[in-house]
Amino acid sequence: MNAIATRYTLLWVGAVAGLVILGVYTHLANLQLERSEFITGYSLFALMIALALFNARKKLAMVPLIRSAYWLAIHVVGGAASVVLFFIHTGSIWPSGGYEQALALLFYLVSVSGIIGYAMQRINPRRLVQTDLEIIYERIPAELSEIREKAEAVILACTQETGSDTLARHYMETLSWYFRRPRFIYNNAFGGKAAEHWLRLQYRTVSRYLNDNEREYLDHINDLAEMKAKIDIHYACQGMMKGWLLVHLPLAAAVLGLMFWHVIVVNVYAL
Amino acid sequence: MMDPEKFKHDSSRYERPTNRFRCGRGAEWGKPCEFGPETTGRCGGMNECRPAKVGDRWECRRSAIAGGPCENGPDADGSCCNKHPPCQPRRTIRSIRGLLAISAFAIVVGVIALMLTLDSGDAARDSIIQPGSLTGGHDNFTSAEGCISCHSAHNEDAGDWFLAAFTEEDMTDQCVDCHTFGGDPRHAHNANFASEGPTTQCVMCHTEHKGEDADIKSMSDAQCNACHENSIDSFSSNHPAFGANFPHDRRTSVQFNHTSHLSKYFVDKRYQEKAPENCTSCHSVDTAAKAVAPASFEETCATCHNPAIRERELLVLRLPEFEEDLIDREAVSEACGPTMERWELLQEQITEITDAIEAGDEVENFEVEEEEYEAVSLEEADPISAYLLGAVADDMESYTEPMQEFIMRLVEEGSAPLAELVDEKANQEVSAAMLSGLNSELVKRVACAWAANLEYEAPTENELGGWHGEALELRYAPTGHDDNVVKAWMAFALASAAEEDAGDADVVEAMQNVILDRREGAGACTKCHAISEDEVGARTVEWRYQPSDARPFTTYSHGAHITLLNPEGVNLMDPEDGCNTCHKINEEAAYQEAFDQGDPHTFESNFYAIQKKTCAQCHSEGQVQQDCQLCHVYHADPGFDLRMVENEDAESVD
Amino acid sequence: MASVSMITRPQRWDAPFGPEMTDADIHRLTALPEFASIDADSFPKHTPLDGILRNDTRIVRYSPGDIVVREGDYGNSAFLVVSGNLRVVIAPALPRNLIGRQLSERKNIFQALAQLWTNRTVPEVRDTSRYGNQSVRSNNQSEADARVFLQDIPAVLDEHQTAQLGPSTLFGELAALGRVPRTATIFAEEEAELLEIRWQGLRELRKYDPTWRKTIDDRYRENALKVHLKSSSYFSGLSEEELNEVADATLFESHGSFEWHVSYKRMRDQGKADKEPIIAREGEYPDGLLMIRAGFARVSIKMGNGERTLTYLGAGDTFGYDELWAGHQGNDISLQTSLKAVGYVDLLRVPAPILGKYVFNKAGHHVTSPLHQLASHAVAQDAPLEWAVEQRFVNGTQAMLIDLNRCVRCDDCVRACASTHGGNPRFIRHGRTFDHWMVANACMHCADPVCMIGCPTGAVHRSLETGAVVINDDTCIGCGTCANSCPYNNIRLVEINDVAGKMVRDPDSQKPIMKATKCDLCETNPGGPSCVRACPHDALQRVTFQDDETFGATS
Repeated sequence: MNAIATRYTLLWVGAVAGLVILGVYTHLANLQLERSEFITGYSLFALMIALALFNARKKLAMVPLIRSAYWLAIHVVGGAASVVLFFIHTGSIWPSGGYEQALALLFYLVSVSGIIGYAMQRINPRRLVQTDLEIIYERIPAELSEIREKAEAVILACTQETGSDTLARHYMETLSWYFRRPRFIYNNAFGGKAAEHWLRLQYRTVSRYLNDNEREYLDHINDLAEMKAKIDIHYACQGMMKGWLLVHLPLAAAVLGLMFWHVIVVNVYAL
Repeated sequence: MMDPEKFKHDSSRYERPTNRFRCGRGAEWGKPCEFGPETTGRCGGMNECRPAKVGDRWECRRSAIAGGPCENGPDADGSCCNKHPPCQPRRTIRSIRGLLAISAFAIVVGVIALMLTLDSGDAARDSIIQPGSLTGGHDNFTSAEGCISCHSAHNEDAGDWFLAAFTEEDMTDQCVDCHTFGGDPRHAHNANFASEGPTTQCVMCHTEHKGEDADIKSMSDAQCNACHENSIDSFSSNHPAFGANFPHDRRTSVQFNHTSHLSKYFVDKRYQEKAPENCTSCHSVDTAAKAVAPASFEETCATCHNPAIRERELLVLRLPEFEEDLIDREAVSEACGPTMERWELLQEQITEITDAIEAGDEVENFEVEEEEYEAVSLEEADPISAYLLGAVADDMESYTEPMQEFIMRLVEEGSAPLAELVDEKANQEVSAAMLSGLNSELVKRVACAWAANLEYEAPTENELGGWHGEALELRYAPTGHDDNVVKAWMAFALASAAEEDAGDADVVEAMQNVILDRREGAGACTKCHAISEDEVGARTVEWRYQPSDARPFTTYSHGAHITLLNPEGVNLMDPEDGCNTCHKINEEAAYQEAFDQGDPHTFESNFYAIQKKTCAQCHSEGQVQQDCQLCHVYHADPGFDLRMVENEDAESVD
Repeated sequence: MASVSMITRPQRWDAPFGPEMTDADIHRLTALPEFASIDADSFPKHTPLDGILRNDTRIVRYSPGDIVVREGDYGNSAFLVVSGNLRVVIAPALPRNLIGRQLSERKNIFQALAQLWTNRTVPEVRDTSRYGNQSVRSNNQSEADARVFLQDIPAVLDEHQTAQLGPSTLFGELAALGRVPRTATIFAEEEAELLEIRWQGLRELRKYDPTWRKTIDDRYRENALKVHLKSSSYFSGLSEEELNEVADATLFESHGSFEWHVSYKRMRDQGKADKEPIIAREGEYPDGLLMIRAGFARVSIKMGNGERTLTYLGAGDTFGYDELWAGHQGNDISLQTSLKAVGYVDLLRVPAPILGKYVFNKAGHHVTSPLHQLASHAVAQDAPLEWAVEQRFVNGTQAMLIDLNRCVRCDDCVRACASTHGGNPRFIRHGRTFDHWMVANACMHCADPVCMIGCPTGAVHRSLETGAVVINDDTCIGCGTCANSCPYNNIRLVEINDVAGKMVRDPDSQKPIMKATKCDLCETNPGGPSCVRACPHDALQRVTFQDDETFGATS
């Protein structure tokens, strides 16, 4: 068992043990007619704070604060555990009060977005590796514009060299759409092969009107298009891996806000 | 694999993911400029370089990464020749994310703050505090006042409101505003047990805000066991056996011997037609819970026992034999007029005188000849009137005078003197009822007859019962079952006690014996209705069905069991089924003996005690539910404070 | 457009090694026999002898017990004893606490945290006022203040085998020139005066004066040989006389170019493999045991139409042992594999008879699995190794290896890097990839740091403490030599801005002032490289390629 598996195994064991302890405690406290919500609530509160601190940890990279990898492991396992702890604490799946429903809804959304995000982060890197290309997300616009410039230069050269505008026309009519910006984003995001198919279709469509001389240019264009197809996959997959946090993080912030309010209200009214 | 040229140190800059802005041209998929936006978010790519003045000349300073110095070089004024229109830099995803997160937090805080500025009691304001709707009942009565009904901190100003977070609040105080219990609400079972239990709070078991239809009352068996030292796993396993006589803890209030009725009377050919078909003919269990009151007398016993009731008359006053006649007949005559005999005697005398005058005889000195006194009654006085008059019934000497005086008063005043005596001896509650329906004229006529030393002759037969005179007696015949006059007299008798040093114990006892005599007279009521002594020795007749007051924490629903056992379809005599399933008649029991003494708790039931195993036939593991709350209730005598009812009234008026 | 501030373009010797070198000092030095014999005219005009003495040397005085160099330190300078006696500890090595190993000046936790608000959003901000006051800039100044000394010299002499170094002894040139760690600890036995010559100066002296060249080379060979032989398990059991015999017979040779990176980069730019000088050829008969002292050599075997790399050898590894053993047993066997110099290789050749006499006859057979048996590996298994050698990544001791199967491209590593470097990243998260491995453009802290070759001011140096290759920003003149030298493109020149955010330019040429930047392994930051700590997905690690099993380490 490697270090990562060991780490996760230990954390899962710890989390399950913690949950079992809290679950049993809740059960026993109920039997003793005591309020278990206090302990489970503050446990959940502490857990949520710990989960939120992962973000703070990222901003404090200059200080030696336990490796981020451990934090992530805690975040992942703790996040999953928090859902169970949430059920233990509330004793139900859906509360009946207005703001509690809002809190529960946001909590579930954060949890679901977290799970989806985690799954994405496990799947997408491998898909990116399989493109056999590596590119920094921020450099994609520059890279695309470079490819576009090259493609247009090829078209220009083709027209000048062969005196035929067939390829140029096809580029203007159809291919320029493709080179303009990332395409097939959703298809790429979910692992489709629409871009590949589209490129093959375009190649065949125009190929029949070209002579051998022109076809060389077309092949060149096709190489660039295939390069861009890979970049498009990176754009979609890396974009997904960045985009899910646009949901997860604001929701988490909202959950924190409501959670603090919940703690205050409960202390004022019930304890 | 990327183009390796891109890795070269002189062909790419450090990527700076901490930047908040990115090139607007790049964002629109154009060629991003080399420098990117400035840190403030302004476009930094309007010129490709910042030319430098070396000596008198301006030199291009475009960086090697951007392609090195340009061909044309700077303009004459020293500005870059490659000018671009400024772009609108965009925020990076990371920056947007940060803004969104801060906004989300701010929105939550803002919405809460906004709600808090609303008036207290506003539904929107409450909605950010209330964790769930109340159950229907609580929701109704708190609707007027709102949260403050239970949460004292609710209407405090912000500071105190927040400080309330650090003080503990016991909701019980507010609960008992409306809820009442048979004991301390903070004691387990609201009872004073010998061992000191924990202090309880309502919210330990009843938590609100779980929805309109939430069950806030149910408890698990294990929760019961939290306090009970003898923890009970389940009814069928280790619940203790029921006590002897279960479920009875006292004799019945009406002495009805099931054994004799079922085995003797109901099978007797003479009564067979009148006999009930089955148990439910008398015990209407359909809707009954724990206690099953028998049906009314009229519906049950009356069939056989009603006719006898009229005959059970109460003798209140009797004309006894007197030693001497002390009655002033003139006064009687004045008050009553002459009696028929007297009138006839006078007529006779007048005829004699008239005849003598006609015959010229000498009219003798006319005087009514006093006959030798010979009392019409040879009886003793009755114990009731003797007691009322303070005399001894079998002592002629003691009653001759007061009785004759009393009769004289009756002659003159009707029933009033009797009432006076009753008022004097009995307490007010019963005294009015004791002589209820007694016609003053009747008394007068009876008294007149007696004063004339005659038997009273009633003008008509007494058919309807009630007060009537009969020869030497003034009697009361019950008008039927549940006769108030008789009940009053019984209460009177039971309440009367010998005055301590009056030495009239015998008189009192004689009176009581005659009123409460089971065999004769009105006292026969107590043949069925038990006379019970309470803790201080006060005796009462149990006119009404008395539900058991033992086991206040146990409940049972006869109604729920009835459909299952179908007693109506079962012959009364069938020993195996129906009510017999649980209630088995114990023919050996000395049922009646219990009624010969006053303590209702010294008894032997007509039925065998119900065994736990009987219940456990169905209520056991895997069969019918058997949790504690099925048979046991927690609270002692739960109820509501009247104020709550008043509130509701007030509301309904609104 | 922001206005421009001006400073003088830094020059070589702007930052002299020792700021207090006076004319009298120079005069005194030139009177020393080592310098008196030098023909000053043989030095070119731009680097005169006295200029070297003035700028590349300094006189350091040591009190008894003061440690001059520590074993294992990376040092960039050699020492000439002017007066007094020193002691070199031969065996056993001094305990670590005794030689006062100290941490480099790391920020404490609060200073580290302060970067949260002191880091600038403006790129590459420098306090340019520091550059003007150059004597203060010398980090060696503070180093001298923090000298460690031995409390009880007699006890050390008692417990450890030592040798005396008297006046006119030159030492430390091995580490300075060979870019290898110091091999021994040397301390002052009495009041001593030493001339510390930084390696740039040593290089010039060796280059322009034949006597110095001979002295340095002789000493270099002798020191390298003896120390290396002693550290080898084959010869560790030998007595001093036997060892001397082995040393006398051993040949010292180097293969490949001292500045191999130049040709390597050129060839790679042309898309060709670099020429790797063959040290020993498959099929030839071995005449001695080859022991690698420094650099890397590739062990290969013919396969199809090419050469298959089986493994590579670094310092301390040997080649030809199995075949020599077979020969000793009477089976004449030719070399089963070839050995080629990957870059610059220093090696020792122990002749076969000597080996037979002192190793095979005395100690017997050591090796259990001959190198050529590595050929039994699946070809695919060795592909990462082939790639790593091809790309010369085997040179890296702290290469940034990213597992792209785990990396979610979140840039946390880059931001962490920026957060520990004043808001500026010191690497780019791109680089050459093989399968799902990427070696990012971050300094690998090479075993053979060619970037240090040619730095005119010694701004690129090994950290005394960690051995990390770092750039002293104060003394960097932005010439770009190191950036051009680095075969991995891991050093980048940046245009600096002053604290007001203004671009800094040279007043004469109006050209921007550049500084070389690269990963410093978060030397001054507590907790080690923040990039590794910041990676949430265990994707990024700093690896020593020689120890990495994926890339052929046979542990």
